[in-house]
Amino acid sequence: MRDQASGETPDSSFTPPAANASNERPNQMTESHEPAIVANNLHRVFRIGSNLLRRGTDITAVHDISFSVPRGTIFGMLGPNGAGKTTTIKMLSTLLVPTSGSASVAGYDVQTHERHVRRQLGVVLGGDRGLYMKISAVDNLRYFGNLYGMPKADIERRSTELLETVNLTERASQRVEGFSRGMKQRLHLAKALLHDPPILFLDEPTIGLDPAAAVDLRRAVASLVPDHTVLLTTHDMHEADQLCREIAIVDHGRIVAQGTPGELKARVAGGRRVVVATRQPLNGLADDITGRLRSIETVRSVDQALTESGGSELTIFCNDTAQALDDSLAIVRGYGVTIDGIRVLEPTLEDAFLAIAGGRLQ
Amino acid sequence: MSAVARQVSEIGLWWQVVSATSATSFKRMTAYLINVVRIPIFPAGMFLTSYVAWNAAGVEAIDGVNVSGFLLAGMIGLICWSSSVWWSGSAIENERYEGTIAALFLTPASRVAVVIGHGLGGLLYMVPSFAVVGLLGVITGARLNIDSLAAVVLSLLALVASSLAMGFLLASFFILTRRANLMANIIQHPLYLVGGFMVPRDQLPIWLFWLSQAMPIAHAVDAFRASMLSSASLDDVSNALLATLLTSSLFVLIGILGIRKVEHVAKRSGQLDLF
Repeated sequence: MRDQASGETPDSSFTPPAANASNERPNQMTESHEPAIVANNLHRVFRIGSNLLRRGTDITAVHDISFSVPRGTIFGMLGPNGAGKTTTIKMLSTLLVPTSGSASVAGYDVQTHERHVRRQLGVVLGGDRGLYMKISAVDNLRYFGNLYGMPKADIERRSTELLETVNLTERASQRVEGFSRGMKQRLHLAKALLHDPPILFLDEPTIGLDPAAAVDLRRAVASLVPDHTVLLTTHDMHEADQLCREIAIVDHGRIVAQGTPGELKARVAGGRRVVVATRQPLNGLADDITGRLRSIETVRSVDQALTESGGSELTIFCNDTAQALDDSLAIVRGYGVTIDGIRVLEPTLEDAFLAIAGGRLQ
Repeated sequence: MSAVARQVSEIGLWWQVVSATSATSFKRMTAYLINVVRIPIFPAGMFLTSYVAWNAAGVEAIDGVNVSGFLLAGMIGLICWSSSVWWSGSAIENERYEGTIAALFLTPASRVAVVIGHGLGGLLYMVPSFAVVGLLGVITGARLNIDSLAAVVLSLLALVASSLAMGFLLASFFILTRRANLMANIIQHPLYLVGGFMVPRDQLPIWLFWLSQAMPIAHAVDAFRASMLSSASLDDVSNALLATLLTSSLFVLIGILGIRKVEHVAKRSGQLDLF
């Protein structure tokens, strides 16, 4: 299994406290093989511009989307604005009725068991939405705790713990309207975790955050698994790559590709390459060297260019970077050329996204 | 868990939502000092304007009670009505305006309990208005004539219940629109007349009188006025209280069905516009 948070070590200070550590949930997420979230041909059409005299125009926001999310994992929906990510989350969280198709969350049908679904869910809507600005952070948590029917003692204990977890203890009694965006996002997360839901929907949780705040929040999200299942929507490639075990690339309301980040990257044929920089220009050796490099079995093509420092740069596109690296270094050195630098470039999720979704990101 | 225990538990959860919502709503309303200061000014102005107008017309008594007393009872009704329009009725709209409607609808809390909680919070917020109007009543010589305290208390409860019931109905309609604030303005003012707050309802044109008969708060104001100013007994106000109960029940029933139906319609049409 892929490391859920490779590249950023989860900070233990962000590990959310369990609602009742000594009292395990009967169907604890990690123990069941049933997927936490299942979407079957979810389809949503919006009618716009209709009134008493006009029928209006039908716009399909989500087109027969199907996926399932194993318990205890982070599943990402990656796509440009308007791709249908938020509409999908709305349908899964009972805020929007699908035009057709079905979905279940924690085993409950989202259309027939709405209240059960809501109890199993924590949703981070993001931005300025979803918090009462004129009351304090702790009052927000207290109110939402009451809306979830939590006992008073639990509300107080969880509020204290979670405010500490998201580093808002010192601002707990201040009105939310004075909070920065990052603080609001952290409070959103605390609110979503308050009733200790097994499943979390995070809709663009880091959008608009400064880099440091975004890193903090990603650490917090990474620390949620395997105790929680997370459905994350984002158009941040780096975030999706770091956090998600599986990603669905959504475009124009359809899932155009789905798999682990590694699987998606593997679909990008041209992304894997070795770049060898030489101190001197290759001049007359260039044709010979590139010809020999092209003869390596795993190499697909080779580009040669001059660098600003007066040397040459060989870009070797290949299927196996390790093999290409060994062979190409041996070949170049064999001509007595001094190597100035080597870079091994694996395809990024961005390469995959651009290849799959056709370059439309915003 | 037995069915009874489950029912008790459900009621407990329901009340938890009502009380938490009213407390939170009150905190939000009183977040700024100006909100607290401004709220009694309007009913006080209405009271004084009406009082001066009736006096200028040479009227000393309306329906057998002095003008000040008549207006005092009417203003208490008017304050309840304002509360029902702006807090119960606009409860969902206010959530939409604050951007919290999605967060609220994502919880399993009863929407009915939330609307009632907002209504109670609104009434609590109106306490300074009640106090100021009461003070003006005393200053202008309102003469109370109470024979049955039970009748007064029940009439007052009827006033609160009827205002919540009317707010309830409005809330269900306001879910579907983003222009509830403007609609509330349109609805609010005609009720000043139809509710009999500043003028006796029996002086209204007959069609307006029958329209007013459909308004729960109009009957509650009648009962409150009679029990507080005309020494009416419980028996004397029983018809008005019954009319309040029946019309309020109808409003609540339509409101509950409306909130459920309209929420579903809004989710189907995407009109909640949540995110």
